[in-house]
Amino acid sequence: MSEATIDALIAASLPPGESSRLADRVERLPDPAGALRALQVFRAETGRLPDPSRLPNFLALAGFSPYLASLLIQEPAFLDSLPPGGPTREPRTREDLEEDLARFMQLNSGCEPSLVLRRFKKREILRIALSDILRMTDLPGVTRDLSLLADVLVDRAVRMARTSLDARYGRPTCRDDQGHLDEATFVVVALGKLGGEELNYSSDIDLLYLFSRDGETSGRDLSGEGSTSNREFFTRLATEITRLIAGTGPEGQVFRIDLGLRPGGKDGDITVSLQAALAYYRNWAEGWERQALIKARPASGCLAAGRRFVEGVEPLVYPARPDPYTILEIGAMKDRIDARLSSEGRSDTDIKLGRGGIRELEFGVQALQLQHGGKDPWLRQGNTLLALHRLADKGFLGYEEYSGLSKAYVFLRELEHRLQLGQNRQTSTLPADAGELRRVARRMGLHEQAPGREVEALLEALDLHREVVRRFYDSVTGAVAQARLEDERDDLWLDRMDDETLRERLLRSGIADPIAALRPVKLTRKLLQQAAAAPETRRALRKSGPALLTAVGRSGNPRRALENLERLFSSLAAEKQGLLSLLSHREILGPTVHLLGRSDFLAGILIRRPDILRTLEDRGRIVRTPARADYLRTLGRILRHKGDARARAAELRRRHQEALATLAIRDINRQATLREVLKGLSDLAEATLEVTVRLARQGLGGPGRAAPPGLRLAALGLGRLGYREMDYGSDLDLVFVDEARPGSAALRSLTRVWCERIVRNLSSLSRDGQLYRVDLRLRPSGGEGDLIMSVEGLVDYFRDTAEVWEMQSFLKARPVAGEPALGGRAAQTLETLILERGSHLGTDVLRAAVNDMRQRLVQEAQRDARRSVKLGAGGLFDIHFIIEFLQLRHGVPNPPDKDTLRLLTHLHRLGYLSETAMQALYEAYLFFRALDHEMRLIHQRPLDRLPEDDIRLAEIAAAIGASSAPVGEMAAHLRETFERHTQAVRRAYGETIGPFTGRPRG
Amino acid sequence: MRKPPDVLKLVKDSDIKIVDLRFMDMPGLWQHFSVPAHELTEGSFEEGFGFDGSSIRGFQAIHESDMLVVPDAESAFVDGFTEVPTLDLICNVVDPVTKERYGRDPRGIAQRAENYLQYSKVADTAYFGPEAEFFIFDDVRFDQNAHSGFYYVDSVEGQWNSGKDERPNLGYRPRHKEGYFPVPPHDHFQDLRSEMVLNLERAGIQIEAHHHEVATGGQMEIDMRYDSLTRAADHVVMYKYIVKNTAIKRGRTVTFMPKPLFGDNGSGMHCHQSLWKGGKNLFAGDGYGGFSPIGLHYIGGLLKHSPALAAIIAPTTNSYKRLTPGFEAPVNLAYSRRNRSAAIRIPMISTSPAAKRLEYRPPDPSCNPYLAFAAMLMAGLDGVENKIDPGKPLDKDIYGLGPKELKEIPSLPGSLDEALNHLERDHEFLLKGDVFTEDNIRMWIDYKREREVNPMRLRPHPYEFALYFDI
Repeated sequence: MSEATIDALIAASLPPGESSRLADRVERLPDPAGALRALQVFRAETGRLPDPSRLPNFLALAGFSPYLASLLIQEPAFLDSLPPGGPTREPRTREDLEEDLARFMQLNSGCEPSLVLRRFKKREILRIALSDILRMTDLPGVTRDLSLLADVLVDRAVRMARTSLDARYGRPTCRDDQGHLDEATFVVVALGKLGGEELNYSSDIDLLYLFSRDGETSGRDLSGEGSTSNREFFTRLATEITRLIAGTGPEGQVFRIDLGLRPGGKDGDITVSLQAALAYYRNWAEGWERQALIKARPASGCLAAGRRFVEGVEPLVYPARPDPYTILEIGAMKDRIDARLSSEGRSDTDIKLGRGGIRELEFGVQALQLQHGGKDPWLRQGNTLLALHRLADKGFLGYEEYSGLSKAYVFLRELEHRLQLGQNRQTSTLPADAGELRRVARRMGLHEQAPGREVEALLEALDLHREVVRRFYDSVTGAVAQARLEDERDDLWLDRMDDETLRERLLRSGIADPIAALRPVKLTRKLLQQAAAAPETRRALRKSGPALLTAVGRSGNPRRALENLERLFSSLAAEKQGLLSLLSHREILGPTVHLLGRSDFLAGILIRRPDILRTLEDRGRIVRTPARADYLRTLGRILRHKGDARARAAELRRRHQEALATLAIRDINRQATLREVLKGLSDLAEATLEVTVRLARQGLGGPGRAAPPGLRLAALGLGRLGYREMDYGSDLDLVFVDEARPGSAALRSLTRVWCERIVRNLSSLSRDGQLYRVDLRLRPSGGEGDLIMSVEGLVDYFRDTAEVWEMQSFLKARPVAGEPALGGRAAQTLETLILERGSHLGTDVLRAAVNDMRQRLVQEAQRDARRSVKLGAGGLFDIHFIIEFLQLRHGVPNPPDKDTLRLLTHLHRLGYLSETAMQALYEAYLFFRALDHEMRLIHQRPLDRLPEDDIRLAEIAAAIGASSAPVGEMAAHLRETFERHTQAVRRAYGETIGPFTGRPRG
Repeated sequence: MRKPPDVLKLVKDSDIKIVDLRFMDMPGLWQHFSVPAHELTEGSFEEGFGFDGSSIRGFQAIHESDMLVVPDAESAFVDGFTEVPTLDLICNVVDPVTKERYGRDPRGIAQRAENYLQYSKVADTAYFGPEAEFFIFDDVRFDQNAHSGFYYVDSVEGQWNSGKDERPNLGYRPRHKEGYFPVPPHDHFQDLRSEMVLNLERAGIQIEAHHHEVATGGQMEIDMRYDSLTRAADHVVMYKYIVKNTAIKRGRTVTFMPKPLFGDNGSGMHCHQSLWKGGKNLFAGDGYGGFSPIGLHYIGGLLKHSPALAAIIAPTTNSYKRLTPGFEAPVNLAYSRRNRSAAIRIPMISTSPAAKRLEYRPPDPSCNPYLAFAAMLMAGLDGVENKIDPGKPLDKDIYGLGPKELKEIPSLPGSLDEALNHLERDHEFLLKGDVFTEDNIRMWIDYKREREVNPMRLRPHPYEFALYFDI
């Protein structure tokens, strides 16, 4: 812009008298014309000029960036909030800012809250920018102020979102390690630039939402109405926070939020529990995900919980012995970025991602931190400049190098800010337009230092700084690669090694009992050495071997992990390229080993079906536990498959195994609570049953003919299926019903064949496994009764013949497959009938009958120690007997979505179960269920009796969430807890049903 | 494979009048009942035939006695011993209401074991080649009551008849343990065995050889070709049926009792075993005796579980009179190429990989072959799945192995009672894949104790009079 035009503009825009005073100031602005144009618009919009005392501020901001100018024009009041002489030099504290925000909110209390947040942000941006432009704050100060602003705004959003949710669901509660009731808390962990307190004007904020523990909310009132799972509660909270901050409206967003770094990435749950997050980073996360945690910082919400998270991941981010490949992967990642940039022709113009740019500096710093941070906690620092300083402190950088790098960083970040501030765009590319480039140079203040050649000065300085960064980055990644080569020692899996060395290496890898591990390790070595005859496999193994060993050392039970790993390898070795394919996917090795060490049940599936491993990554990241409809969709597809019934049944079994594996993986990763897992397994069972019912119907009419019309049946689920509490390996308790239709003997016999096929398809073991064991003995007259019964027949039976224990069993009945209307009618009619008859029987008769049956079961438990927990006094059976007794006695219909816990609270609310009894039963039930569940998951067998050896007990204790302690202690504690709950249940039984004469279990 | 229509055609073509339905009880005796041929339709192979299972040994309690047998078309064979043309069909036992396989049907257990094998992905077929030995006697009598008891067997070729005045006695009787295997006239039963072989082949069982066995008094062996587990067990049952009935037809009697003669060899049923997958013998490799690691681990499993297995594969009190040291009895739980006292021998007759197999020697023909084969497979599989090391072969340093070291090699239980105790403690490996159930094992142990071990305990033995009468 020529001098003449500027003068003209000044004269036109400024009041006479002012123009001469300000002309010089305006001319030195980066964009004098822009400033004056803004002034004109301001006047046009507001009908006035800014107050003379504020005019310098206006010109400074508007002359710097059209974006800042537009903010002033939108909200002239903002100008008044800036102190006339520019902001003070003193840094603002978090408290100051929070107070300011509170005041601002109050002033604007009539507005929509998210709008207020946006306005406050804009006001503060102006303040920070002004201080930046006037050079009253240096780059670290500016980025710190921006970060603080984000922290405070997010924190406010957390509080705002909480208020309405608390009113709706009550407060989230959980049980701590000692089982005490506690409040579950929520924290926002910042990652990326916000985590490092080095935020840009226009960066996204990288956030991670975590909650402290699974549990349930207290509900709106004492009755617990509105109670939901913590997961649900916090998911809503997280969504609401995201909406408040990142939701777009007429005035834009507060911040763009990037949640892509959360566990599971884009497919992961929006918020996960602390435990699940830790499990994820321990077992699933890839190198770069752990690298991102260098910058993790609890930012808003419950900071204490956030600190627990950061402390928990620290050993993972900075392992005592870093895996050199992690660092090589950083290099590889940068190489990919480079390739993309150069294909887009941006290698030179992108000051962030290009060669010698900000990213290389950050990666170089992080590589050094990862390499040395394990031994030197001082280096664990999320802020890049501070990290540079500390690296220099510890001698990992020379002083010259440090000084050059920190100058380069400040220069590059400032340049980035100035690129972004133009139009508030998240850009880091130098503009192609010469005029725009000149304005950028002027924003850097270069026209003051090198008048007339500011663009050249900018490019020269840029080259200089980028050269420093490039040298540093190359030396770091190169040195790491070199160090790795020198570190190449004998490979534990491949090279000759005597037992002594082997044991010693195992011990160093964190395997506490290397003697027990020796056998599986030697077997695995033998297998791998054979496989490594193929050069490709050998190379993959050399590369993956250390990761494999690390994963084993990290496993909860290295011996189990090794034994299952060896079996998995044997199974893979039998397939063409099987081993190679697993070994070359380094990112799934860790998760695989973890799963193998955690569960024999899952290992059993994976060993028979190693192909499931190939999709492991996706499976670990499924957003939510699939429900019945999802299963029905996946499994139901086979009904349309070509091929004979046998082939379709085989495909059903295969898909069923895959679904089981997926669920078990979610279970192990704590992506689902126990209650959710059991519901998931029940949904899977129902869907499998439904598909089997339909499959068995095909071809009933004879080859190629449709089944005759009117052929209908429904399956009622009893037992665990009835309560939707199926576990791994639970039997299906089923009863089949149809409608009584006189004179349709042929139809009935066809229905019978149908049932027979259903049962056969469900229960036969083939090379693809078995779907379920089916138990049909609960049907009227037990094993002798007809396989299928009409609803009317069932009703007759329950009106006259059924015994009390049968009434108890059928209280759990729930339509699970087949004709829904028919099943629903059956379940409903039976429930009414049973409750009616129960109340007619009278308390004494009921009590005698229930006690008598209980006695028989307890005697069976005494006779057969193998079944002592299930049947014995004070166990799960007692809890269910209490529920059923109370239901029968008081005629209590099942609440919707019945299960054990719901019935306990339901009976309590109705006043039939005392507070203490309910509490005792509730906790005992959770404990026994968890115990049984872990037994099945870990050892692939139900909880028949408490295992005797301490190691097993401790493993179970750890799995159900005990904090780690010496094995003996953990085992003793579990035994005590078990005994305590048993006693409590027996007491509750005595109180509710009456004295139970059975001898106590020995 | 034969299908139901093929069976109906066979009925028609052979002018069959009666169909005989057969199934196995738990202890191992073949049971049967018959229906007129017109009752057999294609539907019969799904619907089955009803019977009362309450009095079958080891089956249902009285209150749930109705059961069904469903014939297996593949098993059909024309009975060679009836005057009325009769077709025999081997059946599966199923629940009449749910049509589920009956948990205690031994043939069902065998089939479940085969399913489990496939499910385990270790192999798709297990081949069994059983070699059942037996005695042909001319006379057998036994009785025991409160005040007396005896048994008496006789054979035209029994060494003990050398001094008998037979006007004239022509001699040529095998000396004790020298029956293996001089030509006639020592061998008195060449033709009878040949007739048995022809009858067996007519029933569809392929025979590889027949010969006299070691003991005097008519000990024989006829070797069948191996087959897959359940079919091999079917063949054992058919073999016993045909051998016994051929002898009866010729006025002689056959026993598969393991140890009918004192002082000479007993009758075993060595079982050759191998696992195959995709047409490949998994036992062939380059380890000891040409064995693969899988083969050696299978051996490891068999050896480890042998004490428990004994209760199923040598399931009579009489079995343990055979399983005594000496008498070439395989009591040492080890494997070897040569040593016949080792429980497992690796035959070296052929070097072809296809012929690579092991010979497990403790079983005897008093076992229920369905249960025995299933149990052996499960033990071997346990070895494969857990990579159980079979230890060193027994013959590696056989000459250096004095009685002292031999003592360190574990041996089979000395009695049925002991074996049952072992089974009670060690049967996890049988329960995998629900092949055997707790109920099966419990029932077996209870049955054997109550019906066999205890009754034996109650009875004085004749030799006790020799030892103690004058005390």
